[in-house]
Amino acid sequence: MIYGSTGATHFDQLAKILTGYEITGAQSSGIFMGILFIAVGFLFKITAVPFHMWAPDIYEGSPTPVTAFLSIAPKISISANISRVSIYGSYGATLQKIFFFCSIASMILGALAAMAQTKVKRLLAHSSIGHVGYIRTGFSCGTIEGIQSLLIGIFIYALMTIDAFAIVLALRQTRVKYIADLGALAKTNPISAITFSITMFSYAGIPPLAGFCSKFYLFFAALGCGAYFLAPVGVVTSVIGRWAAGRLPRVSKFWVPKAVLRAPDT
Amino acid sequence: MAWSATMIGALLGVGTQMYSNALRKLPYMRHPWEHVVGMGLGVVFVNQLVKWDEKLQQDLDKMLEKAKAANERRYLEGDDD
Repeated sequence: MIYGSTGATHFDQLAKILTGYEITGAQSSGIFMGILFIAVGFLFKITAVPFHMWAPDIYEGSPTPVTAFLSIAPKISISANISRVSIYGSYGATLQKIFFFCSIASMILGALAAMAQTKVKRLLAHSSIGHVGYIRTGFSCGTIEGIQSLLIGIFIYALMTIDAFAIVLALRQTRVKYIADLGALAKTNPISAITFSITMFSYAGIPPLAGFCSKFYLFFAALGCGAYFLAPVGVVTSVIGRWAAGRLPRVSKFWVPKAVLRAPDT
Repeated sequence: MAWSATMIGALLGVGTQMYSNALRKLPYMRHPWEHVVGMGLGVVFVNQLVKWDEKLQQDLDKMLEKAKAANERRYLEGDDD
């Protein structure tokens, strides 16, 4: 649609046309819809709200290595893609409003929905949705500090997610599916329990772990660009999300496993 | 500086290998040659990291100097470029 409206596909030409469109306030439904569809496409792939519906079901139903790949690789590639399109192309008010809204919605939904989950992979999916919201905050700013914080956030998010899914994969043989199944982890494998706890505390943004550093940079970038609503929302959702992220270490350390007769999975 | 980076790298490598053994519920020093390999990799990694950090600082200083010179040229000397 953008090519149909502008006749250009090269980033340099698009930069001039789209910047002019944003600055002069020109009305072009073709350009507007084109920008909207590009943003929606990107947001679908990175499971940002309100295009996140597919993520928990797919993350839960897929084999764990596939889930791990899905939760890491698209976030990195699409973030790089959007950054490149925006830095070399144009990033204006239209895109910024869409990304601001999606960041706030992702942060809120990621924190609240994670509280209601009973399955480990669904909890990790919702944590991932929340974290995408924080990372989008850095991009939404449209400043160099925002891009820097986005890169730091993506790198730290990738490491945390690799860690979390490595533990889940290691527990595959004990058929860990529900959060309650982690009840004996501190007794059976204390090193795994400690590693999982540290990873989830990092997800929750507890200092001095890496997750806190990434959120620190992201929220300061948001404040630096004048997004004074976004940063407090991020802090509040981070606090709420600590309860959800802290469930896994709490269960693995302090719960007593119940004797359950379970039919073998068929 | 090089000695301390080497020591830290060696400790990091040994610690990583011991942690890997502990995760798999093996004795900490099982297959001790793996600890030697870990030490070597740790030493290489930390020394390269220190070198990269020094180069990064030098490159950043150069970029800041260039930006400062360009700004002075633009705003103090009235160059239109």
